[in-house]
Amino acid sequence: MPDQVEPSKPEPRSARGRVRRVLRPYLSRGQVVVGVLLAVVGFLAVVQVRSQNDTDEDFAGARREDLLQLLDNLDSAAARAEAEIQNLQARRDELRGTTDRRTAALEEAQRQVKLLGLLSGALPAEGRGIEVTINDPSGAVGVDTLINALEELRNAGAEAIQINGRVRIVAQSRLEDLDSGIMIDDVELRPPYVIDAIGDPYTLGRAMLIPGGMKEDVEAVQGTVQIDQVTDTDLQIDALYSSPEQEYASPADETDN
Amino acid sequence: MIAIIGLAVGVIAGLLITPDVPLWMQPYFPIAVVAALDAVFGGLRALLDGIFDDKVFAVSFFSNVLIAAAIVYLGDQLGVGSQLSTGVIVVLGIRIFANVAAIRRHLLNA
Repeated sequence: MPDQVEPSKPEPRSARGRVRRVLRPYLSRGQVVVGVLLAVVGFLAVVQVRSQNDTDEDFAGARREDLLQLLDNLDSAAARAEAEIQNLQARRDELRGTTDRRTAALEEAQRQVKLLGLLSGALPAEGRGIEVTINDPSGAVGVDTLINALEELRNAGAEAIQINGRVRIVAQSRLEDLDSGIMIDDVELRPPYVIDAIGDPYTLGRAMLIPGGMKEDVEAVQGTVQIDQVTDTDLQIDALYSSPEQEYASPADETDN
Repeated sequence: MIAIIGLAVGVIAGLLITPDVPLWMQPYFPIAVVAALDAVFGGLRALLDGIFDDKVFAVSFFSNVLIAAAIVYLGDQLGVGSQLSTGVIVVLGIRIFANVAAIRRHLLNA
């Protein structure tokens, strides 16, 4: 090998000597071959280490079977999550439905409360209606005539009635004759009597004028009746009836709802 | 000396270039690296024994790498790739240990 510049010393006897000789900087085919191969090794090792660090550490070394297993696990986890979602959505819909029903029931109950409040005289009322004024200078108009008038108003569809702005007429109202006037539900009233009734003004007005009715009764004892139909503004009925405690009656068990 | 410079050059080149390992090579690459390491330690031991020959070293280097990769490839085809690569790694590891032990005895006399 003519290009070899290796010193033509004899081969050293000890291993350390050989290492020392190799580490000396000189050019030989062996040195070059080893250098190139070591460069290849270093390169490959570094590339491998870096690719190992670059890729997702959990899955880089995994083989196909392991990856399939992982995929299966993820699939079943996804399926479980999906089922959970549907479960919760069904529950949410159920709760929403319940809330809707409760809201509807509450609204219905509130509507009922208002209706019953008006019927029982516990709530003030307003609306179109008529105002009937009975002038009775001789004091001859009694309970009979008034009851007549109230019945006719009821029949004509009056929904709320008060007298003289002080007494609300309800189902339980009691009327009593006094020497000068009448007493309704322990309230003494004197003429003139002003009856406010909420309902259809035309129908109520006609009801007051029927032959043989209240108007003729009053006029028979020299009284006068004035009927005002209130259509433009709202008639205000703010006298309230406070119902006494129910001592004996209690609601019977409802069979439906 | 040139060998050490070559190693350093290879490492630096790997750090600077950072190529991606091709996908088809991924299963064989680490085995090949370990096989190459085995060849390197074998060469170092031969040097200390005084029987180092560059031709033998080069041939053993390439044959080691190729055989290791071939074994893993065969294992993959047979469906026992992971077990076979473990086996190859174990064998190469044992060889590296034996070589390093011989080198240690030469250098430290212990």
